[in-house]
Amino acid sequence: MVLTYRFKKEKLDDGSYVSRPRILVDLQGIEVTALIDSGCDVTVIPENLAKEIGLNLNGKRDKLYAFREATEVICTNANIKFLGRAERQNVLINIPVLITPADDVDTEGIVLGIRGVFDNFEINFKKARNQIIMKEIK
Amino acid sequence: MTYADYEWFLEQDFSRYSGRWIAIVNKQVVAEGNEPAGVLAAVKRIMPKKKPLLTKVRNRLAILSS
Repeated sequence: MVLTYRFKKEKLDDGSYVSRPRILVDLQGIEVTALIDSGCDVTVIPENLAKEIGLNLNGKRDKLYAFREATEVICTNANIKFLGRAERQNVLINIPVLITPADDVDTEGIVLGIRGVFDNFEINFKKARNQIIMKEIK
Repeated sequence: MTYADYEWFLEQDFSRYSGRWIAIVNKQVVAEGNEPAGVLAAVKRIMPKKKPLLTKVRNRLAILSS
């Protein structure tokens, strides 16, 4: 199955713009946008959303290192359905995720990392064509 | 319907909601807040049969990698 998404142009607080690869997923029953980050090792979900969708918060504790700081995280798994334009295109996978405790104005929502996601999809970022093409690996 | 909302989401400027969670239904922002649970509860209250598209608006320059 091949899924195609687009970049989202977003205005920053300083008035400049960035284009971010935000795709559409169903996270355990909640339809939500998620950012694909090829530099992130594992998918990250904020705790307040993790609680809402009933993820296991009793998993192993670990640390997530981002740039110059470390954050305490909880390791668990989640069902993520990648949504296509038509229902028959949807792809459901179960992947490892890290739950981050903080969710404030400066934190991202869902970040899709390499482990699990890049193992199940061949992902092409075509910025000039404004396309993100995700081909399921069988 | 959510895919249509996703396509609408891609075209909009949500910078006024910076740092907030928002819910989109039928190409409209129908709820906003600091907590996803509160936003989803608001949608359930005002549009109980609708499934919203939830998103977090983030308008800071970022390095996200772990």
